Amino acid sequence: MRLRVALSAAAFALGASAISWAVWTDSRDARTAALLEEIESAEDRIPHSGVREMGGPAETVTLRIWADGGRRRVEFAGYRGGRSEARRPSPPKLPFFRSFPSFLRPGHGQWRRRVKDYGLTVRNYEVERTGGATVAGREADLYDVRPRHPGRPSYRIAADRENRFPLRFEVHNAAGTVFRTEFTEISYERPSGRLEAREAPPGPSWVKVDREELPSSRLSGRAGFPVWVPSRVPPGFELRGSEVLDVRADIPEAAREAARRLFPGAVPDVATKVAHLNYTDGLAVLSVVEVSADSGLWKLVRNWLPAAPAEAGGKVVARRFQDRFGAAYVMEVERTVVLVAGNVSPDVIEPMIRNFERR
Amino acid sequence: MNCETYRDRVFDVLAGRPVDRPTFDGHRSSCASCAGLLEGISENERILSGARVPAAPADLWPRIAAALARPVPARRPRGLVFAAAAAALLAAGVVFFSAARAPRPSLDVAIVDASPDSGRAFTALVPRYEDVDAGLALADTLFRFGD
Amino acid sequence: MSERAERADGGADDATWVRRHLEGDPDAFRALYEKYREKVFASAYRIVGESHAAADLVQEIFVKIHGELRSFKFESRFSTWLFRVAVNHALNKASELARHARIRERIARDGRGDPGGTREGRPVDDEVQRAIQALSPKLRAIVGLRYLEGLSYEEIAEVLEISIGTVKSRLFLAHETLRPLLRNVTLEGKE
Repeated sequence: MRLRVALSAAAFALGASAISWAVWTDSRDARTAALLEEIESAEDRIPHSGVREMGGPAETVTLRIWADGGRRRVEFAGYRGGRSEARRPSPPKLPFFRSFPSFLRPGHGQWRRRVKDYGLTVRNYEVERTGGATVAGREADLYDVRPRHPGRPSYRIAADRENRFPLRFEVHNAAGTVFRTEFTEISYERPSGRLEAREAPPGPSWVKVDREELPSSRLSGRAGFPVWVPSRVPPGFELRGSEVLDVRADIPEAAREAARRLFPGAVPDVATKVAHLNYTDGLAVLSVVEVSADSGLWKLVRNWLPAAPAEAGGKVVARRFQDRFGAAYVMEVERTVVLVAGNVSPDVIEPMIRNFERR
Repeated sequence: MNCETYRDRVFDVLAGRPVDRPTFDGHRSSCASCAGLLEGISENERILSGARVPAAPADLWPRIAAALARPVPARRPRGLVFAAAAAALLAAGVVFFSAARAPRPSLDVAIVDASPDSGRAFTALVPRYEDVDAGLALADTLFRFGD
Repeated sequence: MSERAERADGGADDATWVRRHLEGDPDAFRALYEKYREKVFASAYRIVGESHAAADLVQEIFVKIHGELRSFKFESRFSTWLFRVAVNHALNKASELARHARIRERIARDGRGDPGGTREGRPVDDEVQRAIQALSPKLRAIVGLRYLEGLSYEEIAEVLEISIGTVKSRLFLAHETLRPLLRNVTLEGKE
C-alpha cells in the first residue's frame, strides 16, 4: 500500500512538474515573443535620426537615416572596404535589368523584417539576455538569439534599454560575423524634412508584376507549367507563402535595340508566370522560385549563368553557389527551372532539394 | 500636473469622465508640448471612430464547421515535457522506442558547384539582411553593377 | 462555476449559449459565432490589415475558442475572454513579413483591392488602415478595441491583461504616430 502511494505520488509529482514546466514555458515563450516584437517594431514606431554603419567583415557602408512612422530618408555617407575602382570582370550585362530581377529574388521583401514569425522564432531559437553595452551613447541590453537546429545563423542584438530600439544587430554563422549593422549616432527627436514611405525595391517602370496567393496544390494550374513543391522541409521551417507572379513587360524601343544585339533572331517575350514558395523558421528564410524553362523571361535571365546541362548520368544537375550569407541552387526538372535559396548552410537546403514533388 | 499626468487626463476628458478641470486647463495653457494634444487626439479619434472596415465574408461558417469536424492531430509534446513523460514511463519499467525514418528522396540530384565567375548572378538569389534601400543601391551602383 | 452579473446587452445570453454548447446543443456554438463574427473579423482586420488574412484568423480563432470552451470559467465576461483570445492570436500572426508586403502592394495597387470584403469601401477607409499599419501590432490592437469595438479603458485593460495606465500610455503612443499620418484625412459625413 505504502509503495503504491509512493509510486502514485511520484507519478503525480512528475506529471505536475511536467505540466507546470509546459505552462511556464508557454508564459516564457509569450514574454520572449513580446520582447522580440518590441525590438522588431521599434524602428517603425520610434521616430529617429542618426548615422548607421552596415556591412560584413570586408566592407562597411555608412548611411545617414531619418525615419518617422514607416517613412524615411536615407543618404549615402561613406564606404570602407576592399572594392577598388578597377572592377572585376562582369558577366554579360542585360541591357534592361540592373541585376537579377527583383521579382525573381527569393523571399522578396522578406529580409526587410528580421523576425518573420514570432511563434516560430521562440520555438526554434533560444533568446537570452547576456549583458549590457553602450551603443551610440545609449545604454543597451545585449540579447543572443541561438538556433536550436544546426546550420542556421545566430544573432546578437543590442536594444536600447529605455525603448528597445535595435541599436546594433549582428549575424553570425560558422564563417564568422556575416553581417553587422550599428548606429554610431542616434537621436529620438522627430526628424523634420521630407520623408518617404518605404517602397519595394525599385525596378524598371515598364515591368508589371501581379501577385496571387494560392495554396501550393493550385500553383501548377495557375502557373501553366508543372510546379515542384518540397515534400520535406528542414526542421523548424514552415511554409509561409505560396503565390504565382504574373510578369509582363512593355520594353521601350531603346532597350529593344540593345536586346536585339544579344538576340539577333527575335527578342524573347518576357511575359511569364513565376511560382514562388516562401519558408521560414521564424528568422531564417528559404525560398523556392520556379519558371518554365521555355519562357522568354528565363531565356533572357539565364544569360547571367554559365551554361550547364540539366541532367548528367540520369540525375538532375543542381548548381550550387554559396557565400557567407547562405546558399543558392539552380536546377531544371522536366523543363521547369527551380531556384532554391536561403540564408542557411548547404546542409540545411540539400535534403530539401532532393525531395521535390510535382503538384 | 506634469505632462504624463496631463496625457492621462486627456483620455479621461475625451471619454467624458470628470477631471480637475482648472489644473488640467492650467497645464494646457502653460505647456507648449501639451498645448495641442487634446485637439489633436480628439481629431484622430473622430477619424478612427468614423472609419469603416470590410464586412466579414459570408462563407466563413462552412470553413469553421469543416475544421471542427476534422480529427485533431495529437499535439507534439515539447522537448522537456516529452523527456519528463519518457522518464516517468522508464521508471515504471516501460521502454519507449521511437524510430523516425528519413523519407526516400524523390529526386535523384547531382550537386555541382557553380563556377566562380557565375557568383555575382547567384549572389542576387541568396537572401540578404537589409533590403536594397536608397543608400545600399547607391553603393551598389558605385561599386557593383553600374549601368 | 462562479459567475459575475452579466450586462443586460446579452452577457447573460453568452453564458447560456456556452452552457448549452457544453451540454451538447449542436446549434449553440453557431449562435455565439454569428453574434461575434463581425466584431472578431473587424478586430483581426485592424491588426493584420487585409481581408483574406482576417478571414483566416476568424476561422482559426473560433476553432481555438471551440477547443477551449471547457476551460472557460465565467470569471470574466465571455466577450472579454473571446477578444483576449482573438487579439492574442492575431498578434501572433501579424508579424508575417510576406503578408506585410502583399498588403501594401494590394492596397496601393487597387485602391480597395480587397476581394474578401463585401462592404463598399471608401478611399478614406484605406487611408486610415494604411495609417494604422504604421503602428506595431500591439498598438493596432488597442486602436481597434477602442475605436472600432468601443471598449472602455477598463475593458481594454481586462482584455489585454494590462493596467489602465498602460492602456492610456499605449493609446498616447498610437496617437503620436498617427497624428502626421491622419493629418490630411477627411471623413465624409456618415451615411
